[in-house]
Amino acid sequence: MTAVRDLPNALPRPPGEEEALRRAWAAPKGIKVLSEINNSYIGLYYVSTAVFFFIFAGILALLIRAQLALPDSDVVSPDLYNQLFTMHGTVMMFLFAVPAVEAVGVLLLPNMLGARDLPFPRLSAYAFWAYFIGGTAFLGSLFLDVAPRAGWFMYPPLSGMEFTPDISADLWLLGIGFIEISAIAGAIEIIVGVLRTRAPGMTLGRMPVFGWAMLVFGAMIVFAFPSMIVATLLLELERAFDWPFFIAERGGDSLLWQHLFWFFGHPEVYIIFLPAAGMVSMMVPTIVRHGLVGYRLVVLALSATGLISFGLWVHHMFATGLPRIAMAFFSAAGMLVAIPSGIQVFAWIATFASGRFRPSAPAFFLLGALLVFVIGGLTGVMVAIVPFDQQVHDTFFIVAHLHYVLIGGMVMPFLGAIYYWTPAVSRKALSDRTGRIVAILFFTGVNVTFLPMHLTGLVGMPRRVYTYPEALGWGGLNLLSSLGAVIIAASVLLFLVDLTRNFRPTMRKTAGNVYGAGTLEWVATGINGFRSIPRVERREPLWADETLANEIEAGAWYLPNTATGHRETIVTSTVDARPQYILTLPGPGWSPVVAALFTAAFFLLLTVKATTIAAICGLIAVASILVWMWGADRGPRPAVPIGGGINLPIDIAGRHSHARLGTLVLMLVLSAIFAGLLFAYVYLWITDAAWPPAGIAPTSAGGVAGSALLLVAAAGLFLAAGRFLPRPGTGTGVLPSLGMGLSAIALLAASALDIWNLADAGVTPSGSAYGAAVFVIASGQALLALALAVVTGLLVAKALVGRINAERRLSFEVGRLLVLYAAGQGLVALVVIHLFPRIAA
Amino acid sequence: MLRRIPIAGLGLLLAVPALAHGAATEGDAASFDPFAGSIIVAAALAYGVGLRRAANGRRRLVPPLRAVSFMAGCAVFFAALASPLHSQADLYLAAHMVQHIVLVTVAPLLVLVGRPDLLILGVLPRRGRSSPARFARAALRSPTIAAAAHGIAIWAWHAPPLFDAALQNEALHALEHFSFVATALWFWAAVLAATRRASGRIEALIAVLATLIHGGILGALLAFSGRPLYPAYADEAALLGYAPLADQQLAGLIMWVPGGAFYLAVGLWIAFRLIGQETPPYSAAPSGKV
Repeated sequence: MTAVRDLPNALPRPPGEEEALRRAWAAPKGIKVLSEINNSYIGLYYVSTAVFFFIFAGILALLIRAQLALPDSDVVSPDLYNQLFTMHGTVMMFLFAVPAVEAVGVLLLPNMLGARDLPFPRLSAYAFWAYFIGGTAFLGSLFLDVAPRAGWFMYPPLSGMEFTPDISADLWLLGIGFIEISAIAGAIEIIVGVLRTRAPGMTLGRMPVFGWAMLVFGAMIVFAFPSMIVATLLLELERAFDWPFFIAERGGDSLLWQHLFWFFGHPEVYIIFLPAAGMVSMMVPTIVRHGLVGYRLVVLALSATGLISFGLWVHHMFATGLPRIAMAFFSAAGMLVAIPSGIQVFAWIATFASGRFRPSAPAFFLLGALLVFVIGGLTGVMVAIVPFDQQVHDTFFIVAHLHYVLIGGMVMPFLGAIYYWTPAVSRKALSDRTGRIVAILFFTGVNVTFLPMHLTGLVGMPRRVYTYPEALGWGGLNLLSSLGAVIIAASVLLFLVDLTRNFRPTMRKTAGNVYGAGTLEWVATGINGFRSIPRVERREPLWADETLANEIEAGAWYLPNTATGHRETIVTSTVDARPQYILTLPGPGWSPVVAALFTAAFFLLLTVKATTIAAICGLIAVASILVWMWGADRGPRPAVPIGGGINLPIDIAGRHSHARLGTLVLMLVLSAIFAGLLFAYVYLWITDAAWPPAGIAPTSAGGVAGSALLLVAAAGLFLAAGRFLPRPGTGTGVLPSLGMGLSAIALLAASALDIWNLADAGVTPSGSAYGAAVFVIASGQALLALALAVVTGLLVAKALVGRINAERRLSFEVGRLLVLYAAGQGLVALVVIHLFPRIAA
Repeated sequence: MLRRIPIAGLGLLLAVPALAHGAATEGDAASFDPFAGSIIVAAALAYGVGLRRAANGRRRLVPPLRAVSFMAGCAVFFAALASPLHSQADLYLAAHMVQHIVLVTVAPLLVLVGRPDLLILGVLPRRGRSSPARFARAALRSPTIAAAAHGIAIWAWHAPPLFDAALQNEALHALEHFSFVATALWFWAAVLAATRRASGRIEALIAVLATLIHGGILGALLAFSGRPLYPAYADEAALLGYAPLADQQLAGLIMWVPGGAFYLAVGLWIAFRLIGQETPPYSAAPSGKV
């Protein structure tokens, strides 16, 4: 294999080329480093913040264990205890688990895929800062004694106004709802990144498993999180404006919350687990120096888990009085998910068996994780059996089960991943010896804490009680669990010591590929990642070709330069990764940070009902997003060579644009939110026969027709505007601006007319669940129209100053897709709101 | 004119559900509808003729296993429409649901795996330049649009007034079944066609996933409804003495769980195709169209 190959770019590279590349990617110095949006920086901030929240929530768990260690204890008051377990669950799930895996994705994915950055760097910066600011403020509530206290799944009526009249529930609903938006932004970024920015030749079948895991992760977030957004929205509307979605006396139904919550909540478990499983599938082959056994099956198992998880939400509700026959079906279906999880576990075991095991800290974590996860899976099969579930429901058995699943499925792989990938981002590796001790201590602690807890639950101790009398005899088991918690704390402390001693983040001189891995993230150096972007022909390119790393570093592969002076990466086709165009990326800037800061302020101020200041903050947030969108879409430029005789155009618009894909994913999110609202509507109808309730007149058919016409006009006007975009440099965009402006007005007018029509018929949102369900659909449409009016305003301004024309049309095309979507959603909404009650009556 | 026979066969097949209903004998547990049966047999025969004609060419257009699949699909259509299941469907919502699920999943998919389209491809306008023709062809081939149409058909007919009206009126009932079968054939044809192209698999997967989810939600709504939604079946239940709510719950769950399992299986097969192998040859030439 010593034959000289044809490399795409001749060596040595011309002088100054590398310097120009580094200049384009140089990060700002000093405090301005916070305005850096590159994935390596944001990824590091992101992972660190997640670890911080992990430690914080862990301290809360220690307080819980301190309180429960002895019977009749009063270390904390009952009310504080409620806040502690609510915050522990919420922070672990929403501020640690999901963001942590997303953070690892932001940090490592581009390097694994052979990209220089994620495709929308400002979006991931926004997602991170929103999460950081919102999450920190959310923690603060605990110190002001206003922390949520209704449990991490916030069931109404306990979380409704009647039983939680203070702001603690609002803080949860707005805070978490807002962090979900940040997670969705990250998911869109990751989906587009995985599908469109892989190195040339990295077909889907050659993508690292972690890329697949993050793709499934992103897709699941797109379908699952909207349900949670709808749930939090409905409950907040009920609390703030008395729209009775969950109040039975007025036609609401508290079970609606559980359906919406678990439609999100069950997939959420796998949203956390799958990326961690993807990390395991990356680490195991390196540890034993053998390619993953059953790659295609493992990826299929990831997808299967994702798909199945959407059908299983009911098995969290076995104790809510569902039809018995339904439980029989779901008991069977619930066990189905054990199959794909089993496939993955067996693939790991087979890989371990095929290669030569070399002990290391990551290996210790993985072996521990495997055992813990399998135990959690087995108790999962147990609770899928209905009679068993009804016996142990809401006892400590469930607490033990979910901790085994989450710790084995996510926390231990995550800690192992930190040991494994630290050398890729730090000047020094973490201490392998300390790591092994941390892993052993952690594994011991977890089992000492949670294994006895199964028994505690079986003998009858319910979860979420702040204490128990000595006579019940639960003292010994609880003391043992608390002892285990101390062992876990000791191991985390040791881990922190190791981090402080050895973790030295750097962009240039990383410790490098100390474990001898085969994937591309180990070649990436510097903030630009790759000196040149290789062609990938194997799943482990570094193992297949030992000279590849040096060739990449010497600049012999594609795009060793900056073609435009901006930051750039290569966009390739979705399935077979053929190079399509060069994407220029934005550099550092404050707009995402400012936007995130004021979005967070907007939501947090709403919880304390400071509406005026909140509105001002909201406007500032919108303004900074507009500033950032103003600079987007630099317009297409002629093709340039990237080496090997390949010429690629720069920043194209049209069907193959990555921005179009991002917009399509956003449309999926919007339609999933809309579907959630429709589900609420139909669900409330099947539980309440009075639809509409007495005293509500039929809406005016003329009004409905008017709204429909306006929606069609809005779509037509925007489409027409596209035909009149001027050629570059000729004339102005007055005509298309007029079309777009009128389209936005028509969209708004359609909503206004519809709401007037409803009000005129006597429908009020607070009068009945019917009114609330109707109004939430109509107001959702109005809100979308309003948002698009802002977008259209931006497009009009761009068209008027010549930033949009017949060639430079990417932002116009994005706006057009969204307007067409909004018109379609509006028409469906009209059918449901006005036709359905007529035929259902 | 022999060439046209397969097309006629396919047309007849589409008409089966519509016609079958007219001839069903109400309440007869052993209803065997010779009319629907003979139409399905005719479709199968027509396909056979097309197969023979195609086999005269240089290479086999449709492999034997696919032909078997087509015949199996016909048999399943037959079983769903011209068997005791059909008469049971008038008495039990759950039986009716089984019939519907079969009509929109197994039967059309088996028929389409037999590639009846290949046998009629020469007749369709392939090079229509007019933009409506291009638009119509793109729409017919789009899994997203097909899934939307199929979804609308499913949800609209489950609105209680429409569903009940169809139970009272045989013509409406035939229309209901026709719209299920026609949109299902469209949906599966678009999904299969997209899956044959590497670049279409993601869209096909999303279309199947979306159908899986909304079908599940509809099933969930039927299963969790606090009251019987279809008065016609409530009347039957009163006559026959079973609990209408239990019947409805079973119907919803059949749609949700076994129905969903079918979409899941197809989705996984698409995902498997999408994942692909490590080794297919690759050239780094830029794609022709950018």
